[in-house]
Amino acid sequence: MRMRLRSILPPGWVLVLFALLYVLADVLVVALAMILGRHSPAEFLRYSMFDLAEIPWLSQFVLLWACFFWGVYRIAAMHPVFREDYRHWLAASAWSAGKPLPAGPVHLVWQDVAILLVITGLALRYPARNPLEFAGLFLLVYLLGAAVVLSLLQAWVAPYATAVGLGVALLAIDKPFEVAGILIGLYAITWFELRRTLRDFPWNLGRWEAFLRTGALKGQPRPQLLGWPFQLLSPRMVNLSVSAGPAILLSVLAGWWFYVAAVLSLPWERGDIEPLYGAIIALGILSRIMAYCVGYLSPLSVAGRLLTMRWIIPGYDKIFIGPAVTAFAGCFLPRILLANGWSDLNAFSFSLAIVFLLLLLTGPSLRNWRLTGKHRLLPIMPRQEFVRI
Amino acid sequence: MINVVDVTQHYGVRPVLRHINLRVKEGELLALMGPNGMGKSTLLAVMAGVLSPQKGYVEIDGMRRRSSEENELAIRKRVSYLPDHPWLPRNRTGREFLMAVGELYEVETLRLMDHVERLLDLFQLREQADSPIRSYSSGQMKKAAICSALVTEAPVLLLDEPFSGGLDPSAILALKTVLKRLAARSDMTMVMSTPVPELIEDFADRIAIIRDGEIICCDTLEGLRRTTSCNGTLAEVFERLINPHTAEHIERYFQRTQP
Repeated sequence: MRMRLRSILPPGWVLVLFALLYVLADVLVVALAMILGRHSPAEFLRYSMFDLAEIPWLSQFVLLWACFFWGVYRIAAMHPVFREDYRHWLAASAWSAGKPLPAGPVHLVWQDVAILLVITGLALRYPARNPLEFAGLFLLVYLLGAAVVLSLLQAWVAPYATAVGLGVALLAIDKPFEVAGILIGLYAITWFELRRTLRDFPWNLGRWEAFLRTGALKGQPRPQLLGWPFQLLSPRMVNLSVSAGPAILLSVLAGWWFYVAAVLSLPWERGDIEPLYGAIIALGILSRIMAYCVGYLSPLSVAGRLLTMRWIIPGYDKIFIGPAVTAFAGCFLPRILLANGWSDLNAFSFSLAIVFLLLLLTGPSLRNWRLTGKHRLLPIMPRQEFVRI
Repeated sequence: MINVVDVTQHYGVRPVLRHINLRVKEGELLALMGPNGMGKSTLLAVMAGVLSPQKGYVEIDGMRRRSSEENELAIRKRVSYLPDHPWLPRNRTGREFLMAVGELYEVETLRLMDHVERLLDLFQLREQADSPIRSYSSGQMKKAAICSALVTEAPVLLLDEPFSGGLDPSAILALKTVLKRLAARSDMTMVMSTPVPELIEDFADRIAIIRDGEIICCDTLEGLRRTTSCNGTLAEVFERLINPHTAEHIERYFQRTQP
């Protein structure tokens, strides 16, 4: 039991540090109350027994931070995806998906529940707070970490469910048991996906392989960081395009989160939400233009276009069609929907989803553009990272 | 093989290249020569895929540049381009940089490590190999850039003024020797620009002279000599082609300055 519990806990010195901080935080509060309120310790304790909720115990924040760090630790330190040496060792060993992971389980075990119960017990000291908040924070951080892990492994169901489900949880934030139910439901999906991806080990991490490099290969530059000309003329190019399915899902997610943010900031007038909607669309369009144009200039300068009467260069200017269509749809779609009786909330959220879909799907794809577009490459290198000869 | 077909390029109003047609055979070393600002670097950039010409196209080993994603990636893997002013990662060591470039071109690891060591010895960079590139002198940086073009083991090399940038005499000799040996191989195709005729006259298979964005002559040294009726060095032949009145101007200058 002791070994198993230890396998999911951070190193001893971290636990001691948090315990010390926890005690010192309350000692500080008591000391300040005694100094400022001129109470003796006996008076303070008697007073506090009657009105515990009034005392701003600093230890509650230490406990919240502990839950946060533990959530990060549980996924980041245990999952092999972040540790290259561990991954290689596992791949070379006789480990298989049915056996326990040597560095500790990546999914939650009964020891986690025991620790959460202890934390909840400690949290009962703070009547102003719901004790479930502490366990909820741990679970939230763990789920987000697991979503990152599963995204790296290209297992998209759980990350997407988490992204949608957290919005639902936010909408139900005043109902702790519903929130707990949503988080547990999300954990069930995550658990299934974590097990499924472990069965697929060893993984092909693709573009993330270099990003996640550690150990012996640490410090090896990624191909994209090799300067000019290797960066822009690289013989390797990751697939930067988004296909229709993921584009639809991402767009729905964007619309959903706009809806959640709008509901949470109620009450508002249409005049309040329109600038936010416009700013998001403008930012999206600008980001797309930047992705296509930075380092990939028009083959002719503006003066050259004007003076040679080649005002439009189809091979280059085609990249502006998508943003133009998006801007047009972003302006007129909400008006059309509102005129047809849609509510402000639904009209703007739906329009935002459509705008995102257009931004992601209108051609040419970024990969196709960078490899075959009629552009002029211009190296733009930050001087703190690169030196020009 | 590199095939440049009817390439016209201009950034603004004035064309930098006009109707360039050029064919570089496999195993050939072609030197581009011409006065400054006449289009040598632009022609190399068009061949390297940096620029998309307003007219015409470039083919490498039968594949047209930027015609499709697959073709472009295949061409990029076969071509190594050394620009006139490359950018190097300032915080990486020379050895790390060369290894990463080799990895980018999928050179087999053991062969790559051996190649990097030999290049470091050849260009006398061994002492600095494990220091960050920011600590290199400009000549050492140029050497690292040349090494990066060579370490790719690409069969097509496009080198824009490889001898410039503060190379010391031993590095110039090393580079000349390497290029001469590579030029002798039948599977290496090279195009390089240089404003200094002496550096390439004894190993360039053909020399293309560019003036005002046009190739006015492209032939072997012997062929150029025949064309100009000049049996001198490449520098003299070059002068005859670019500035046929230089000798007269010199004579006239001294006639007027003599008391």
